[in-house]
Amino acid sequence: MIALDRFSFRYATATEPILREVSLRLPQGAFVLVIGPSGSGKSTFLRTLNGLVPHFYGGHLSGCVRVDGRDPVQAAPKGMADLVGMVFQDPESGFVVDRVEDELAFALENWALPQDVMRKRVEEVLDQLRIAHLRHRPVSTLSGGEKQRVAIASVLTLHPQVLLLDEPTSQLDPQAAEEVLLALRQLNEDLGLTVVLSEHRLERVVQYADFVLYWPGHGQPPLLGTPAEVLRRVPLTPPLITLGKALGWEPLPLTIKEGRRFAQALKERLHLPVVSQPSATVTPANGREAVVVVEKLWHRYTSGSRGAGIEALTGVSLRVHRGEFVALMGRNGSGKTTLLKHLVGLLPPTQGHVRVVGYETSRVSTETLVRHVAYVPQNPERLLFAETVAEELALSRRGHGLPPDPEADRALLARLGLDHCRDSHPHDLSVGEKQRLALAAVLVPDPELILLDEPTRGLDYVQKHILAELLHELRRAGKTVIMATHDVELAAATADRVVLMAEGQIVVDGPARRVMAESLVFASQINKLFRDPRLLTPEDVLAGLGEGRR
Amino acid sequence: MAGLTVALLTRNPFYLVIACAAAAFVFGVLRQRQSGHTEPTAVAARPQAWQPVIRLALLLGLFTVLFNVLTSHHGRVVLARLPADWPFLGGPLTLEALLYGLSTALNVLALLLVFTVFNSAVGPHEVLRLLPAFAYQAGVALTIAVSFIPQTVVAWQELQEAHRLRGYRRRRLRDWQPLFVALLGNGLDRAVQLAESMEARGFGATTASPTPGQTLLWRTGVIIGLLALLMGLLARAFWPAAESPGLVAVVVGALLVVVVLVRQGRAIRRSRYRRWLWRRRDTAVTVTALIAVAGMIVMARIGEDLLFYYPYPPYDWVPPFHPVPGLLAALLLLPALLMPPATLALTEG
Repeated sequence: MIALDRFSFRYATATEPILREVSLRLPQGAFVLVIGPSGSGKSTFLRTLNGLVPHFYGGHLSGCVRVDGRDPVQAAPKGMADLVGMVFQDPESGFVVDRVEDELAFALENWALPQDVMRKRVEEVLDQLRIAHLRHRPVSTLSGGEKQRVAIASVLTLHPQVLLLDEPTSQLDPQAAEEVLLALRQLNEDLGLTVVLSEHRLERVVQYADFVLYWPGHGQPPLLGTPAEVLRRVPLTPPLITLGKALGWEPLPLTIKEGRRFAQALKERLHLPVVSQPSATVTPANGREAVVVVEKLWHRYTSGSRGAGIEALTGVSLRVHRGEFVALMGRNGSGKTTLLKHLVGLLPPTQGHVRVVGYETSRVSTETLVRHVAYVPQNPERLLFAETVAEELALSRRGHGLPPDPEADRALLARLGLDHCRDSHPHDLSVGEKQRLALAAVLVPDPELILLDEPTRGLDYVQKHILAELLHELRRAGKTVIMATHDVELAAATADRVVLMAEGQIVVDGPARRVMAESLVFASQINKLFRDPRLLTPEDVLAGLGEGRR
Repeated sequence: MAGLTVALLTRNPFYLVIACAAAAFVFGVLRQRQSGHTEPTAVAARPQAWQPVIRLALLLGLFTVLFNVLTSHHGRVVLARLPADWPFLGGPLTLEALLYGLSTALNVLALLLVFTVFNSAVGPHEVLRLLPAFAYQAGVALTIAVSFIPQTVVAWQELQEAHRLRGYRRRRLRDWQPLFVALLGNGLDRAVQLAESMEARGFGATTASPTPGQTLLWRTGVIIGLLALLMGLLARAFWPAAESPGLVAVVVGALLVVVVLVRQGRAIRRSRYRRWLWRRRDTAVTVTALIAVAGMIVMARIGEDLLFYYPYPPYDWVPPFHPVPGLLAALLLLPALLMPPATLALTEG
């Protein structure tokens, strides 16, 4: 059992405590989902349970913590390792040795267990997480989901009672995330392992959780209860729950299956346009200028780069017109990122042509192109070099050879909701803020085409919402946006065209509503609920209802 | 190991060529076996690329040869002349200097090859497991450092791309500065994450924390030992009269350091997962390797001119060849011959 009693903690550098007088109890064997905005104390709470807080980070604490009767503050992380296993966001940076089997043995060797015990435990864990076939592989060759399962296995060898996971799927694509979450549920059900998991993708985990622990942030006390209880009181939730709350559905549905019941009854009352009418912004493409013209593009990675010899694109042709909002979707490795990189000239075509805002990309340098094309890569942090947020924009201006213009920079930061942290170090921002700062940094020369690669990775619902609003605003300003994403809900809320890629080719290309309604995997929650191309988001449903009432 | 000895002890190009060829052959066999497996094995863990090694060796070789030819102006056979008033470079360019440069380059190539072969046969974690307890922590640090390199290369590529995306052209050295800072920051972040993960998995959990008194004792022990070692060596080198006291100091110093390290190592209790299976052919490989090493050392001791090669006058620039060291160098081929076609084997470079 996990118990906190009037526990407070303040980081050495902070002025306010991040956890204030927290008292709570988590029963043994529970699957606990920890949610809350970035910086609300989720990670701190998890690290308290195995002693990384305060032993690794330092700070001031009061009150008491007990995990199964043991005090993590006294025992220190290495003394908790046999009771509490901890898995981190990025599995790759936690690996010590490079072979799966050795990685699993690492903790056992640290505990000086005899050889026969080690052999047995490694074999058991390999089976529990279904990674026996990976045992001899170097960890660097594994997929994201496999890596995370190895990371989980590597802490399970010590037979802990509690498994802590700090946003274990935030770096993974949906399929890999599903793989990891299923493994966790199985461990929880089969072994009675207590699982405490912080996660942003509520819609995927909420059905497995026994309890939800919500951290509102700003030192406010956390909220603990069953998923339905807590989610009712949490401001931003997955679309299904948002709709359920708006319409007062009781009991609050957590899964599509539970929601269907209400949806059937509701659908009769909805007044929807008779003809499936695409949203007003989609006007026929002809007559408008094409911003992006890709013709029979092939790309093969040459040796020396990652994925050497792989044919990432095999004959892609695509036209995107001014003002369109395209969501590029598809599995990992289907060529989305490669295509985006071609559009900003980071990769030269192996064969074929790419023309972007009138430039043939093979003829101009990326440095020239980025004045017209903004590209935010998957890891926005990489894009940030400066010491402060304000300096970051000034750096962009210098890079583009533009004169300094603090007024314009200030306005841009305000537009992106970053004016409160002008003087902060970019490293200290939350994931969402970093994402927006990276966007601000590439928006400085006022480009007309904006490319985003996985912009919602690691974002919570609040940050996602802010990003979606921002993208809408860019659209209204007449920008063209192409966004590679796994996030079906974001695509449903923003895009008017969906391009589906697989194995380096475009498989489906059409209006977002039609593509989503016809797909099982790439459909939004609300669409799965009603299976109607006119209903993709909670707003669509509420609008239909509004018309009915009139 | 034997390969290293050969590469380090001789300058004679004939023996070096034989050692290189042996290493290349072993490597070739390893590669072939690795690519033959559909299911990757432990040995296939690090399929080393052949070309980068050769490229590195060529680059280094070219550099040494040029450097030697341009700066060393001794020798009888003059190939060309540079104006004598050029600093350093001026003067005759001799065949002997060229040959000396070439033999150094060959030396480097042999060393690199032997390392590559060793690396692709035995992974860093396997070496780690063979280390005695007191060297374990240093070993862990080293393995981590090695695994950091590829990750850092990827981060570097991403950062360069990012810099271009911000519209930056890198013309001056100063333009690179933010990149280095970012790379460093990125490395630190990863180091912190790794440290967390290791801590959370009980790294050092069974180490009995030494009392302050013990720590002090160990530290003074190491310092005194090292000082004695240093003084003994210095005495032996510069003060011939003090040869035997110097020797005593060296021995005492070395002993002291070893004792302290072993004592310290005893405080770390850890176990080792899965030892290697030692097969008969492993014994054979080890024995031949030892023979090669011993042979080479004996050669170097008794018949120094057998391994000797120095192209400058008064010696002849044509290297001598003697079959015994040649044969010893050729012994390095054995691992390739003993390697079974499909099963795992431990090979000794």
